[in-house]
Amino acid sequence: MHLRVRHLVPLGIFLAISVFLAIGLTLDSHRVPSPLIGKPIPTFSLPSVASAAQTVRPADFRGEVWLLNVWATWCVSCRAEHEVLLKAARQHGLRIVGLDYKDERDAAKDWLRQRGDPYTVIAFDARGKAGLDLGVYGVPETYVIDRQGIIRHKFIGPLTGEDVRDTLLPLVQRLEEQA
Amino acid sequence: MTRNGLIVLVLSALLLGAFTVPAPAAEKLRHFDSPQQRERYRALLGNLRCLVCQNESLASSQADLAEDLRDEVYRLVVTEGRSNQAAIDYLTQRYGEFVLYRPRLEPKTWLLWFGPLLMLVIGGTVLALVIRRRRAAADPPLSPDEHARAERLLRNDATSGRNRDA
Repeated sequence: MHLRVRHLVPLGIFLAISVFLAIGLTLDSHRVPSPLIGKPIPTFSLPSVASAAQTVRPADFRGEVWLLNVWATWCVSCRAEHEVLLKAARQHGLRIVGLDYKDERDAAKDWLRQRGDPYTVIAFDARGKAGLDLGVYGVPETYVIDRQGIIRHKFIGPLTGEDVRDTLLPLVQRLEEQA
Repeated sequence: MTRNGLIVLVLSALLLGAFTVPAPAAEKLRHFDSPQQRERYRALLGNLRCLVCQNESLASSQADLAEDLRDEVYRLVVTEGRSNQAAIDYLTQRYGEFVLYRPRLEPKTWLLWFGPLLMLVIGGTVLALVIRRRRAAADPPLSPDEHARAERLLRNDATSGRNRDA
């Protein structure tokens, strides 16, 4: 039997489908790209966890490269992330602003007393309104914001040591070098 | 009970299962001015995806976030009387077009919308080509010589068949 080109067609189709399926396997459908990347961070004005009298606004950090970390005491994976955040703040000097999402103030204070506090300040978003404006859909989430207040990157799910080393630190360094 | 009776019972139970719809999420009691308004709100939620469960619409999801988003949609279209588009814009600005079960028609979704049609056209073309080639390659009619030979063979065959029967 002659092996003709058209006999290879089914094999070709099979390989094409395999390639698409293999790519599909590496995608995580829970990581939905945020439409806010490249856009200014939505503004909010919230009390801080430490004190109802203190107000936290994104504009307070204009001119700096900072992270906005959305977390809550009811969020289990935030526990694992907390260590990573502590290290990022203490060893690498990152400025991390918290957004305590749909939480209770006392629980949040207890958490920080027990586990340490990596945050510059924490906005207290009891009703989750600021979270909605940010497009938060799975806590924890972390946004990287540049000097002009533009969101440059969003991490969905807990930050890991590798995320910090491979993605976050190089990105922050690059943004800090920009005027 | 007879065996047939049991089978009928089992099949009807299965059939019944096929027709039930998933129970809507425990919705808080909401006020609507008219049945049309309620229908509009419901239909709108049915076309929006919950980001937490992903395979559920905002209408049926029990997730906390879905509850918050239902509140927002209610506020926009019922309390403030805005258009469906206003609610859709509100959600897509925050969560992206992923929330739309019915993606917008735009250049980057052309393949999604017209892909099936494209496949049909490709399949139809291949089929037409195959049929045409087969027709062209059909056997030429028999020459008189071949005709006579075929006739002989058939006759012989019939004779030998009769012999075997005898």
